[in-house]
Amino acid sequence: MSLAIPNGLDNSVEQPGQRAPLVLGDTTYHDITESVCQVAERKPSTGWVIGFLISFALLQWMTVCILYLIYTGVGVWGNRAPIFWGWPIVNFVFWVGIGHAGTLISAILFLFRQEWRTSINRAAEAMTIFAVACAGTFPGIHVGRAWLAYWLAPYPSLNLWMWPQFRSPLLWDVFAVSTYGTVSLLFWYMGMVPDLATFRDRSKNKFRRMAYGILSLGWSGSSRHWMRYEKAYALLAAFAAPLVLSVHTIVSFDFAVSQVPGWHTTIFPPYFVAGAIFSGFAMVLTLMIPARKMLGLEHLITIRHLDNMCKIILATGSIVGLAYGTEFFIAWYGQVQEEQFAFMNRAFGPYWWAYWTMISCNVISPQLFWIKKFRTTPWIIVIVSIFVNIGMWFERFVIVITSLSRDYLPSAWAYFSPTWVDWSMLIGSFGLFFTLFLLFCRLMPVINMAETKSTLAKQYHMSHSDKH
Amino acid sequence: MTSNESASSSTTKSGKPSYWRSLSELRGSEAFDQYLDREFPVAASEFPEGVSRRRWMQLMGASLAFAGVAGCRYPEETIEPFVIRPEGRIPGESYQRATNFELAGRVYNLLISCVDGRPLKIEPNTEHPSGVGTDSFSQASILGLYDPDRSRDDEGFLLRNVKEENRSYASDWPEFNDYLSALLENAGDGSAMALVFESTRSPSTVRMLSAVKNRFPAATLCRYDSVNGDAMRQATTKVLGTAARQALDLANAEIVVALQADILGNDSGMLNNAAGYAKRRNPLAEDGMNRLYVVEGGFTSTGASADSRLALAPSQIPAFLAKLGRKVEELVAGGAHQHSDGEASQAYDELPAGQRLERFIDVLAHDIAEKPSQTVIVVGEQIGAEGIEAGIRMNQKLGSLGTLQNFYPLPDGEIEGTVSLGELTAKMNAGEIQNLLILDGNPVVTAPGDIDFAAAIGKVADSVYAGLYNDETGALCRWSIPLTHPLEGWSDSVNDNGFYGVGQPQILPLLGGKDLIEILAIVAGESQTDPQAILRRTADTLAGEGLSDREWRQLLHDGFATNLNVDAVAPELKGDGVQIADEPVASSEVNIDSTEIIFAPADGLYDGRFANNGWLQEMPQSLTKLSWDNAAVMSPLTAKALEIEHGQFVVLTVNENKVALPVYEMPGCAAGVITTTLGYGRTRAGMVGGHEIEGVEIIGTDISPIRTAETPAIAYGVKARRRLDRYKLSTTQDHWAIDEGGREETETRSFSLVREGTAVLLAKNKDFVEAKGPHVPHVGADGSPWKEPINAIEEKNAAEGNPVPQWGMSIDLSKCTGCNACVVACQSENNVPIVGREQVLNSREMHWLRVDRYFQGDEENAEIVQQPVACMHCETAPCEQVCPVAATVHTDEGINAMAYNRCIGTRYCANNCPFKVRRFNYFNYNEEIGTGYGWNAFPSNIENANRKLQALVMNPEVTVRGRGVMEKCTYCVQRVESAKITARKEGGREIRDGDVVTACQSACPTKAIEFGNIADSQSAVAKSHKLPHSYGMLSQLNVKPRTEYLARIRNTPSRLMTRKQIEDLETLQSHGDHGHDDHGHDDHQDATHADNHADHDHAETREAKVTTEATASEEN
Repeated sequence: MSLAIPNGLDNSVEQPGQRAPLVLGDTTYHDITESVCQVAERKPSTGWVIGFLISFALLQWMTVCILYLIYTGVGVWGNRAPIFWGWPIVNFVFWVGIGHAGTLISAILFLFRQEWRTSINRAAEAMTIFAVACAGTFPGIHVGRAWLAYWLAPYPSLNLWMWPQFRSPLLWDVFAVSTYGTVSLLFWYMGMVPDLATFRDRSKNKFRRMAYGILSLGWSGSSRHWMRYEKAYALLAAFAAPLVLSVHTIVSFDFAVSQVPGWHTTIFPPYFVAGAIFSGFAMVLTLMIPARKMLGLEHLITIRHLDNMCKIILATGSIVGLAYGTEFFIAWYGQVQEEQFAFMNRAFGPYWWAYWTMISCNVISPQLFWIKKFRTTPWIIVIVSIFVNIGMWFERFVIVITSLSRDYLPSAWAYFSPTWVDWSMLIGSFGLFFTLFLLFCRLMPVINMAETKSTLAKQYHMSHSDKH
Repeated sequence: MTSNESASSSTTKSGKPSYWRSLSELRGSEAFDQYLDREFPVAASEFPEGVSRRRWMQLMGASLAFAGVAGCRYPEETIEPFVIRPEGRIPGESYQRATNFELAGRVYNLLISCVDGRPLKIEPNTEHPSGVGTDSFSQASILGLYDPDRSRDDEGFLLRNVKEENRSYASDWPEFNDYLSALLENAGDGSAMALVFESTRSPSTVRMLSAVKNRFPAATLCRYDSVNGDAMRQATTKVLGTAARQALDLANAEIVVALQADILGNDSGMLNNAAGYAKRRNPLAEDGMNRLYVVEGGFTSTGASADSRLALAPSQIPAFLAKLGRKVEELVAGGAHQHSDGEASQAYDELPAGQRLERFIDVLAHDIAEKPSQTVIVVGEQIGAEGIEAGIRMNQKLGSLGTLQNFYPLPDGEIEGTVSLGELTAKMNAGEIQNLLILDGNPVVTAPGDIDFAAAIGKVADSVYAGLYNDETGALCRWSIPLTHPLEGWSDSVNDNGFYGVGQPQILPLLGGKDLIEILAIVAGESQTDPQAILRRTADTLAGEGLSDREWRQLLHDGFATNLNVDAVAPELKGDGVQIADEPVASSEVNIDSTEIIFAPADGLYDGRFANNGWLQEMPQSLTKLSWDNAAVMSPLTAKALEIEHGQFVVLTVNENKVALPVYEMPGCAAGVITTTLGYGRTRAGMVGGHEIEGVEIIGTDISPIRTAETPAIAYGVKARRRLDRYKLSTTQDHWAIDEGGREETETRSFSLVREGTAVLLAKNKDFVEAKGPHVPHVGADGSPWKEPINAIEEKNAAEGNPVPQWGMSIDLSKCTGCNACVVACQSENNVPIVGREQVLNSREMHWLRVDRYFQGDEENAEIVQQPVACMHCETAPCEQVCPVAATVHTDEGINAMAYNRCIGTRYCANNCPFKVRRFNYFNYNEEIGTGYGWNAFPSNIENANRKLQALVMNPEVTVRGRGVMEKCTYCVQRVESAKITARKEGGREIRDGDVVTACQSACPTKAIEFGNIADSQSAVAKSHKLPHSYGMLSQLNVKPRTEYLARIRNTPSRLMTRKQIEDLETLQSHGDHGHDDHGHDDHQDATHADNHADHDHAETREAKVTTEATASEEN
C-alpha cells in the first residue's frame, strides 16, 4: 500500500481526469491514526499550556462579571434607552453565526458528498458546539431578571398556568438555538464514536480507558455497527442540514419581525444565513491554520482544503456585500422616511466608523480570494479570516446598535457607549470558546480518522486503477 | 439589627464618610457617645426605620387628631388601635383635604390626597373659584415633606454651632427657648436686632412681623426676594402708590404681549396665567383664539407658546415698548395704515434681524390698534422698574389696566421701613447688628455676589436661622432650628385672584419643626402663639367680623371662602410716567465684551430651595431638557462668535468675579444674550442636591458671584470668554448641536410628529393635519381576515350586552406650555424613581411621561414645539406581540397593561415601541434613592434607614417596581379601577365622563389633557378625537394609538408667518375634504379616499407624493 504522493504537492491544482488527493504524503491508515492520536496522547506543549491558562483566566473573569451583573443589575452594561439591546445581543448573534460552519461542513457537505470535508469536519463541529455555548450564555444573562430566564421555556408554569407567548421571535429563538445546539451536539458526538473507540483501544491507563470506553458506547467496529452508524449519520445529517438554514433565519426574525427601521426588512433571513456561514468559515480557518501547523496535521488538512474554504468565504462574502447594497436600494425604493434615514445614518451618522469597518472587512477584504495565490497562502488566509471575524462582529453591532440608536422619535435618540463589563464579557466569551476548544484538542480526536481513511481508500483505489 | 450595631459599624468603617457618621463628628464625640448609649435610639430598626414605631404612632394619631380639628370629618381620637372604627374612616381608603400654601413665591389652592394619615398626592382644589391647576413645585412638595435631610429636632439634631470651637452640638427646643427668651429680654428696643424674611403673600406672617416691629421698634427688618428683586414693588409703589403684585386676566384678553415676561413659565402668577391663556386657545371656539406676542432675549416657555416671537436683547426692550407705544398712538389717532417694509414678499423668518424687528412692531401695532382695550402688555420684572412702569402706563392708555392687568396689594408692603439685604449686610459689617434672625430663604446662597452675607453673619454675636434645611445659612448661624414643611404646618396666603386661604397641616410635623408664624409670635412676645389661633384672628380681620367655629371649619374644609378675599388696587395712576427715547436695535452681531446675562430661576430648583428634591432635580427643564445641570444657554450664533461649542465652558466676568459655565446651544436666543439659571451649585443641600462635607457631588454651578444687588435679574455688558475644556451636559433629549444629518432629520420629522398649522390654515382646510402626516395604510379592507381589535371588542360587548369602557386620551398641543407639572404629577402618582445624574447621562431616566421638544427653523429665528409623550396604548401594540412571556398584554378596556411579576426584562418590547415610552429598571432604583447602585447600594444601614422615611411618599395603590422589569404609563389604571369600584358601589351605574381623572390630567394648569371613555360618544375625549385637527402620532405604522393629539394651532398674523407656514397655507389649503370621523379607528372608504387624493395636486410636499404613489398602486 504505497501511495507516492509527495508531501509538498500542491493538491489545489486540478488535474484533468484525476481528482486531486485529499491526503498528502506517504500516508497510510496507521499514519493517520498515529498523527491524530498523538495530539491527545503526548504531553501538552508549552504553547498549549500557556494558551489554556490565558483562556481559562478569561473565562473566570467572565464568570466574575456575570456574577457581578446578576448581583447588581443589567445596568452595568452600556445598554440604555433607546438601545435596549447592546453588546450582549451583538455577541449572541455573532457567536450563533460562528456556530454555522461546523454543521454546514459536516451535514450539508456530507449530503453533497464533498469528501474534502472529512479532515476538517470534526474540529469545525466542535467549534460549532462551543460557539453555540458562547452564544447561549448571553440571552440567559441578558434578561433583567436572569433568575427567571427559565420562563422562556415552553411549559405552562406551575403557579400561573401560563404558556410563553408564542408570537414572540424571542421564543422562536429559544426553540431554534436549543434545537440546533442539541442536534449539533448529537451529530458531533455520534460521528466521534468510532474514533473514541480507537482512543479507548490505544489508552495506556485505566482512567483513560474507562472514560473513552464509556464515551465510545461499546463500539467494536463490527459490520453491523458500521451499517447502523452510516445510516444514523446520514439521517442526522439530513436532520441537521435544514437547521443550518433555520437557526440564523430565526435569529434574524428577532430583528426582521420588529418594526425598528433598519431591522424590519425581509432580506434578513438569507442575508443572516450567508453571513453566518461566512463568519463560521472564517473562524474555522482562523483556528485551523495555526492548529494544523502546531499539531503537525498539514498532510491531512491540506492546501486544497484551505482553498475550498476560501472559495466559500468569497462566495458568502459577496452575498453579504450584495445584501448590504440591496438594503440601501430597498430603503430608497421603499420611500419610507425612517427607513431611508436609518441607512443613511448607518453610513454617515455617528457610527460611520463601525459601518465602514464592516464594509472593508466583510466586502472588500474577501475579494482578495479571487486570486489563487491568496487562497493558498496560509498566513494571508489567517489575516483575511480575522478581518472577516471582526467585520462580522461589526455587522451585528451596526444592525443592533445603529438601528436602535435612532428610530422613530428623534426625542429618544441616544448614542451607545460600552462599559468595561461589555468589553470584559466580549473578551471573556472568547475565553470560554478557547478553553473548550483547547480542551477538545487535547482530549478528543481532532480529525475524523475513520472517514479520512475512507478517502484514503478511494485515493488508493483511484491511483491503483490508473495503473491499469 | 439594632441601631447600636449599625451606628458603630458606620463609625468603624473607614474610607468614604457616611452621612450620619460625619454629622456625629460634627456634633462632637460626647453627644455621639450619648447617642450610642441611649436605650431606645429613635431612628432605627423599627418600621418605618427613619421614624420609630412610637413616633409613627404619634404621627398616625396626630393625623387623626388633625382630622378632627381641621377637616371636620372625623371625630377626635386617641392613639389606641380602633376597637370601634370611627364613622367614615376606612383604613387604606384615600381621602382628600383642602389646603393653601405659598411656595417659591406662588400660592397654591390644593387638595391633598392622604391614605391612613399619610399625605401622598397633590391635586388642585377643583372647587376653588380661581380654578387653577398645579405646577411642578407643588407636585413635588410631597417629596420635600418626606425628605430625611430636612432640619430635624427628633434626635437632638436641632443644632447649636459654637464658633469659637468650630463645631456643632445637638440641642433641643427647651434649650433654644431659654436662649431665645434671654436674647429677647436683653434686646431692649431692638436697635441691635435684625430680621431677614422673604417677600410673602401671607397676611398672618406679615401681621406677626408687624408685631415684632411693635415690640422692637428699632429693629431692622430686611425683606429679601432672591429671584426678582424689587422691580415690581418699586414700579407699583411709584405708579399706584402701593406695593402690589400683578394679576393678569388672560381669559379675556385678545392680544397678549409679553416683553421679557415668562408669564406662562417661571412667573409667580404662572398658574393663573396659564389657566386664563388656555381658555382662549380653542381654535374652533366661536370667539376665536387669543394671540400671544412674545419679545424676549432668551427662550422661555412663554416664547415657545407664542404665536409670534421676536428675539430681542433685553436691553432693547424698553426702547421697543416706547416705539410700539408711539406707533399704536399714531394708528389710534388715525395715522395711515402703512406697512413700513412694503409688500410682505419675504417670510418673517427670512428677514434679517433689523427688518424682522420692524415688521414685528408694525404688525403688532396694527393688531393692537384694532383692539386696544383687549390688549394687555406685560413687561417682565427682569426689565426693571422703569420698564414695568411704562408697561402699566401703556395698558392704561389702551384701557386694559384694571380689567386685563390688575394689581393686588402685597401684604408685606404694610411693613414700613424695611431695608435691602445689601443695607443689612453693611449694618452687620459695621457691627450695628448683634442679634440676627433669618427666616428661611437661605440668603447665604441666594445673595448676589457683591453682598458677602456669609462673612457678615460672622460679625453677629447671636444668629438664629429658622429653615427647612440646615443649609449653608444654617451652618453659619449660631442656631439652626427646623421649620415645618407647608404640608405639616399652619400658614395662610392670598392667591393670585385675591382669595384668602389657610394652609392646614396634613400630618404632625414629621421632623419636629415649628411653624414660621409661631416662631414670629414667640419673638413678638404674643400671648397667643398657637398658629391656628393666629390664623383665625387674621381671617376674622379679613372677614370684618369674627368667624364662627362653623365658618372656620367650613373655610378649612373648602379651602376658600367667597367672602374672604382681598380687593385689587384701584387702577389710578400717579405721576407722569417715564421717557424712553431710544430706537430699539435688533442685531445679529455679537460683542463678546458686552453680552447680556439673564439670571432666571431654574425650572425645577427655583432659587435653589428645591435642590434636595430629587424629582425636581431630575425633571428635565423645559426647552433645554437639562437634568441635574445648569448651563449658559445661548444661540449657536453667539457661540460661534465666542468660538465655542456645545458643552465647552464659557467664562463670564462681572466686576472681577468669574463664573465658568458649560455652553448650551439653543437656537432662537437673541444675539449676545446668555441665559443662566439660579439655584445650582449648592454645597449643603443634602444627600440629593449636593453636600460638600458629606462628599455628595455638587450639582451644577452657582452663578451668584456674577449677580449684583444692582442687577439681580439681568446683567448688561458682561465679558464672555471661552475656555477649552469640555463638560458632558446631562440632558434627556438630544440638543441642537448633534450631527448635521441627525439635526435635519429631526426637524423634518418634527413636522409630522408635532403637527401644527396656523389658525388661517385650519379655517381654510379643517383636514390639513392629516395631510401633514405620512399616508396611513389601509389594513383590514373588505374580505381581509384581519379584524381590528377594537371591532372584536365591540362585537364581544354587543354580544354580551355589557359595554366595557374604552379608555383614551387627548392632548391639546395648542394649550400645552411644557411646564412639566404632568411629569412630576405622574412621578408622584406612580412611584416613579429618580435615577441620578449619571444614569440620566446614560439615557436611563424613568419618567413615564416626558415632554418632547423640537427646534424648527434656523439658528437665529427658531421655533420650538413641545409635545407630552406617554404610552399611547396602541390598539395593535407592537410591544405586546414581541414579549416572550406575555408580560405586556391588552385589557378589554383598551389599556396596554404591564404584569410586572411576569416580566423577565428581555427589553424587546421597548425596542419595538416606536414611541420609546417604555422604561426599564436597570438597577433597583426604588431601594436606593439617590445613594448608589450595586456594590454601593448598601452604604450604611443608618443611611438606608433614613431613606425609608422617603419611602413613605410611595403611593400604596401602585406597585413599586424592582430591578429588571419594564414599566410605563398605565393610564393611571389604579384610578380607573377605583372609579369602577365606586361606580359599582353606587348601584352598578355606568362610569361617567370625569369619573376617572389621570394624574397628568389633574395636574395640568392649562387643562390640555382629556381622558375618558372613547366608546361613549358624549365624553370629552371622544369629542376631542373627532375634531378635525386630532391626529395619532406615527399612525402610519398602523399601531392605532389611543392617545391622540390635537394639532398645535398658532394664531399667527399672516405677515409674521414663516416660510413653512406660508407654504403650508399654499399647498394644504385645497387638500381633500374626506371625512374625518373615520380617522383613527376605521379605515377610509377606499374609493373616496383615492378620488380625493387623485383630484388634488400634491407635487409640493414629499409626504403628499408618497400618498399619491401609494394610492396609485392601490388603484392598480
